[in-house]
Amino acid sequence: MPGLNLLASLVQQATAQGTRATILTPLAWFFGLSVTGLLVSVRWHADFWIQVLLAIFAALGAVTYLSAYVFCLATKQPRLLQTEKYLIQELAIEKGYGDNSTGLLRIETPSNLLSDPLQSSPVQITAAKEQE
Amino acid sequence: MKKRFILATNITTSAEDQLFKDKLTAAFPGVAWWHRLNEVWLISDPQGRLEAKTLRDLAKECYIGKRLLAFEINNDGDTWSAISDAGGSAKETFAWLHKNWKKE
Repeated sequence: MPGLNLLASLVQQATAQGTRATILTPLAWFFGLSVTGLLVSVRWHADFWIQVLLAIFAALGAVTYLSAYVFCLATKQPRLLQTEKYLIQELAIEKGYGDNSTGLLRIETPSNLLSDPLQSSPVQITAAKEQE
Repeated sequence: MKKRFILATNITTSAEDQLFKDKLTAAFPGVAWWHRLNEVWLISDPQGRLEAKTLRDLAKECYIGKRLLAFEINNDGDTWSAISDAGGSAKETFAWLHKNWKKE
């Protein structure tokens, strides 16, 4: 079905672009959907208990989101807030190369490479730390 | 007798690579190594002390939870030793090698 194929394609593209990439993203989705549901239920005069339930969900989502954010900062784990895409790029850039004559070299790249991985920036190889 | 090895892993970190290099050179002084391809190490042991299984076990200590494959390349015949990660069955992962990597 064309509709399903289009949807699958969009989901695949979103995943590939890393839009589902931090630990806070599912919480943000939960909060957003709860708030949207709440607004819709108020607009269309849904039963009061439905509005209360959605308001509780939205409040829980907001509290959980903020708690997770503060937890990551307080426990000195800000890397959890970074996207997987960023971490993978950082991992690739930080990798060292070499042999027993040169030691492990670390390749350093300009910081703007992170924001534009396709940019062809020059790389610089720092001096070897040790000789074997 | 000189021995040569190829060690391949899945994605590793710089710290793990450094640890592996340190452990390898400490345990087997005099080994030559080359690591200029991602997740691939070429290792040459002029004194012939290493074995594929030894190399695999040493790498396993540094690359915890990662898939590893260590090949020994020599004139008499190649051997290999491998380890799967926590998420995969070793039998399934390396069935292809058991079936297709034999010389005969």
